[in-house]
Amino acid sequence: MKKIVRFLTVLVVILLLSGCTNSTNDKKTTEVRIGILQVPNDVAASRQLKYINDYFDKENIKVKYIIFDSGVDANKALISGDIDFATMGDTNAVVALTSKIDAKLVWVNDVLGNNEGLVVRNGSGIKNFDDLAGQKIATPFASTSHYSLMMTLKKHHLLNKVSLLDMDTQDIVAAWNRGDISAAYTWQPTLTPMLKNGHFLITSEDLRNQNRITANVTLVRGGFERSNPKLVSGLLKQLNKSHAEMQSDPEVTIKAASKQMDLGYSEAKSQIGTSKWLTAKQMVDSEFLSETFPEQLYITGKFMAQQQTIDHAPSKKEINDFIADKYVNELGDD
Amino acid sequence: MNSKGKKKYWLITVTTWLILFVVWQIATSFKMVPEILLPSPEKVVSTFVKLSEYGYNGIPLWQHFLITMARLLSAVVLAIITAIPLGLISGRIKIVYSIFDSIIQFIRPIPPLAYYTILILWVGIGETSKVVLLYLAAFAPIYLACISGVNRVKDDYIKSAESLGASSKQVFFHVIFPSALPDIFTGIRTAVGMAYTTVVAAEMVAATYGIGWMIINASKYLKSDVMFVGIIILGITGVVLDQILKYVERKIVFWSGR
Repeated sequence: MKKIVRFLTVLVVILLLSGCTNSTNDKKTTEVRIGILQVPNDVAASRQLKYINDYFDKENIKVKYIIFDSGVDANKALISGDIDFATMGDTNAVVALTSKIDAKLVWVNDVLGNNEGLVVRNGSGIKNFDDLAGQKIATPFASTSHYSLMMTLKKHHLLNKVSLLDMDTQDIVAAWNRGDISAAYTWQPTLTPMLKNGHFLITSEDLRNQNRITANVTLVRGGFERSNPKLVSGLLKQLNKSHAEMQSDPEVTIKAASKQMDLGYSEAKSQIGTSKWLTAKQMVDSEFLSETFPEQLYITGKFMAQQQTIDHAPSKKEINDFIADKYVNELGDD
Repeated sequence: MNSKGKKKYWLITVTTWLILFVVWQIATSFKMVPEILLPSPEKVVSTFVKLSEYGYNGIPLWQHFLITMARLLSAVVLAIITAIPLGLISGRIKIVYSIFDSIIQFIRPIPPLAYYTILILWVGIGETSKVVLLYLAAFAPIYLACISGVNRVKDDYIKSAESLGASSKQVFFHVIFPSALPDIFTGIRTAVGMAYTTVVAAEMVAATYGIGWMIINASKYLKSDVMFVGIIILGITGVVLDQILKYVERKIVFWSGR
């Protein structure tokens, strides 16, 4: 009995301690850990061009990059405090918001275009949306692709007529090659091999034109943001630089991103496709972070709650609290 | 052990569980841990009620449960049908043993997830790959138990049966098989345990239902309450399954352990 009591005391102490560490702010920062996606985006470009490292070197801070297949695991790492920044699809950001993870949305890396889409196999007889009925469609659940697919299926009244398979991007390619699936909504780089014997039925660019915007965004861990607002601005400034260059001199940026991802130039170019890298100034001028994007997150949240993937739809206030647009506003005013 | 002592130990077990539950309750009601890491007992119960009522992802909870059990059961039955004959024969005939034993010894210690991706490439994403994975996990324990069961049959028994004019077929079915039965049962229980621990892994890729899948899916949306419900269901089912097997074992090999 004594032993049990001792064990329980230890357990309670551990629980108390973990409760404390989670709620307090961080001490002196010596290392920044950035969760990245395996795609040629602004982080890849500014990492290759040494923007990020040069900045943090000046601050005497080490930078560590951690690769995630999607925002699902990045969210878990944010909870456990293993990363400070994480790039993810905005649907995962909505999950983070509704599950009350201590994190803020500070940056929109890219507004998705034809770098995400629904591919169907050539010769599978699927010519339009109605042909999808009865088919197996694969997509990574909780991702922007999943959301875009669900929106598309709902629009064409196919929600209960197809069977959806939850797979990681590399499993999708394997299943596609085996012939297990003839349709998948996924993102680059997995789209490239599938497009060799398949074609797009719809892309996220088409959805964007129908005012259903999906985007990759960067979240910062709350504890980190509160104690290091300067570092957050600093990092975003570097990313913003690559956004500006993408518009003035895309060749340099794409080249850098391709090198970082070990891709050929044309490969990287097609993987970036028609995704849009808005500069801070453009975001401010078009009221993107204050009006357009919160509205889209609201629609996304409502849809996901309807699908019961999240337990409640976030309110407009919750969304506005979640988006810390002061950093972008600062940058945009320069 | 007398019944008084038994009662005392049983009481300690119950107390441990009660204390764990109280700590859980206190830790959550005083918000010592964020809800996403440890949902409160009330929340878990209300989630369970909600899931039983409305299902998860449009599929009733009992269906998720049944499909997981169906996968488990078909794999175990398949393993019983194949591993018992092969194990018994391997125990009797040296040539068969030499052929199969090293292969099974090679596969046995490999964590199932390590070859799961290859299984998916070979047999696809459907039910087959899931059942095969569980089957592979369940096969070895039964096979090994059969061999050791056969080896433990006393030579005297076989010799006496033979001297009384029993054919080798009669020896096999009337002497060896019954003597090995207690070992076979231990093997089956271990096999169910092995397959059971693999069930979540089996439902990780391209499943759309099952308790394991529900846990994985809930983790993608950070619904820790659903994850807890799934884990508790799996835990209770595991204990119940083992108790059922123990009961069946006592009924069929009633002489064992006496």
